[in-house]
Amino acid sequence: MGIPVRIGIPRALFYYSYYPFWETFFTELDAKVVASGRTNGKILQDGLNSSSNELCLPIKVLHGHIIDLKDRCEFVFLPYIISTQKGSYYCPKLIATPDIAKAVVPGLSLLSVDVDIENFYRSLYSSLKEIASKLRTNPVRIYAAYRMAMERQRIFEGYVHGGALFEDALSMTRGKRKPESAASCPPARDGPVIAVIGHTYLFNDAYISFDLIGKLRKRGARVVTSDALSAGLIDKTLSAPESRTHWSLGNRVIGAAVHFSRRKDVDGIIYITPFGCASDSLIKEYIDANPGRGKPMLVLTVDEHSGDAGVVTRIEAFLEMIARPAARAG
Amino acid sequence: MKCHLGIDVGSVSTNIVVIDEAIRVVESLYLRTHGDPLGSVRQGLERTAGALPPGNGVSSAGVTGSARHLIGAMIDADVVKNEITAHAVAAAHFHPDVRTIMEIGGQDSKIILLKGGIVTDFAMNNVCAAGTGSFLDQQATRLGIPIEEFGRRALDSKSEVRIAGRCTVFAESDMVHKQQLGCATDDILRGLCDALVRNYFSSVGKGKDIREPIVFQGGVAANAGIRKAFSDYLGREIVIPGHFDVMGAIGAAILAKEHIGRTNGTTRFKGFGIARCDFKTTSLVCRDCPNACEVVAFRQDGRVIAMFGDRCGKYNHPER
Repeated sequence: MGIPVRIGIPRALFYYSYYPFWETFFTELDAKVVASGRTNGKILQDGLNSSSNELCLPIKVLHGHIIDLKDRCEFVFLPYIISTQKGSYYCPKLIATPDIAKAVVPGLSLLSVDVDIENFYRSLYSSLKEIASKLRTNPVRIYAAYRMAMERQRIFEGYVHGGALFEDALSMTRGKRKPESAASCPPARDGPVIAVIGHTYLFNDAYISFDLIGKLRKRGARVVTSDALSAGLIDKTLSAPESRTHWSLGNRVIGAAVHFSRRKDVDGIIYITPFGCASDSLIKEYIDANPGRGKPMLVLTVDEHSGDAGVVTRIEAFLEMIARPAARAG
Repeated sequence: MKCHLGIDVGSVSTNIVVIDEAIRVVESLYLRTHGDPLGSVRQGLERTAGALPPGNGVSSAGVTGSARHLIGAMIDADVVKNEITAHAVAAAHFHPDVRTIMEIGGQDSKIILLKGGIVTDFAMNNVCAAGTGSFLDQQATRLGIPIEEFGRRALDSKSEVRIAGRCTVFAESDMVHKQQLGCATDDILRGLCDALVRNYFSSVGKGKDIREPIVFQGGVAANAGIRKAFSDYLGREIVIPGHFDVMGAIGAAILAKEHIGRTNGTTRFKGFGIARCDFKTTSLVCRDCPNACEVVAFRQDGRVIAMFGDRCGKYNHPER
């Protein structure tokens, strides 16, 4: 056996949903998986410099991560994730990320798969076969690797649905004792419960979310996120057809807003959204129109501007709004 | 006599008020910030000190506004509070039954909903400053009309001219176009007021349950054209508080007074003498990690009193 092939996985977008699967899958095929570093000023700047202005912030950040990776591996892995649930789809820009990446990062060797629930086994199987040939591995081994990866993903999702944040769930899935927290601050014991909803790749990235979760914890709040809700729970919450949209990620946000506003233990909801997200601009309307909503909700729009004063002002005002009635009463 | 100092340092104006124990405004000052918060606060403190009747001691000081952390460090404020809370506290003091506060300042606009004096919902404009005071300022200058006359001229308008209000750049080209078509300046000014109000309700005011009494405050509330556009749009009466342009500063003073009263403490305020100190900021780009944060060191007479701007907090970030 020679030197293992290095496969780079950018720490952006679907990384936050499926990294345990892909890490296990490629490792099982004797490849070495390299993840890009955490988002920092340089990665963001590289992403902004290389991307079209029309893209949303998380895709720009993805390009920064690809640039960070591309000289450290033979292939960069980026899936075409079209649909993971019947009747709902990902945003066209997200689906097309491998194509966009090829255009913005010259000389990129991509490894890709199609994930489309409508055509699941055919599309995935042919993609995986192609990967096997690129990695010069026996196609028969793919099935075993796939099974192993699915199992690991199931364990990971179990932790996430149990309320663990991404980084903690990942550490626990890997069997490490001490979870490294995604946020800069450990969870609070008491204090108001704030539900953070939005795209997992936004609020789990401490840099582009201005460390929203860490800031909330630092101010004494307990945080739950929309990640903790399983697909089944979201589905059940949105059982009325008029409350659903075409987008998987959009449905998750709407479902989370409805779910958390019904939950008695949740004091307030913060919906974090990246400036320029096409689906989010419509999702907000759905949430407002949904009769299930009735909790205080803050919509926090983040962009590439570097000052966090605006975020701090809104978070402080929001927490105070929630705390003040209690202070007055007591 | 005991009194309490409140400072609201925004992007366009710096407001300083002094209130007495009964929350009556003893002194109030509205200054242009001109991009220099330190300079405007220094100037404002000097003028306030000069105007204050002798025998008045400041027993608490509060700061709000977008430069609150900087100015809080400068004067050593007892309370450094966000603008939403400050505006709400002040409005609820003068109008205890207030349900809706509309506030439009230099670069931001807000809506705050209250019930029983407690904030229940709020929204602030995002990213873009379309439809705020600085935009009206700019357009008034472009039309050669002093901002003080803007409102009155808009009220003189006889007919409606529709201006796009979604984005200031589009609004401006729309205005130029309407001027070239020969529309009267008064009508264009009124069109701008209507556009600003439409923009307000399609952004911050969207989906909000607006109930009376409605209080309109912030510098833009001085503009009679905007006031009329708001009450026309809502079809309801709006209340303009007596100190509409310094409500944030009053809120900061009230919060400082409450804080000192609650803690039985003494103020940390350095005194009006600090207006004579030398305050400087220097910035550096930290090279310790790839984030390359722009860190600002804030010095009083050469000594560093605060540092801001780092993401990791190792420079002792006061707001974290």
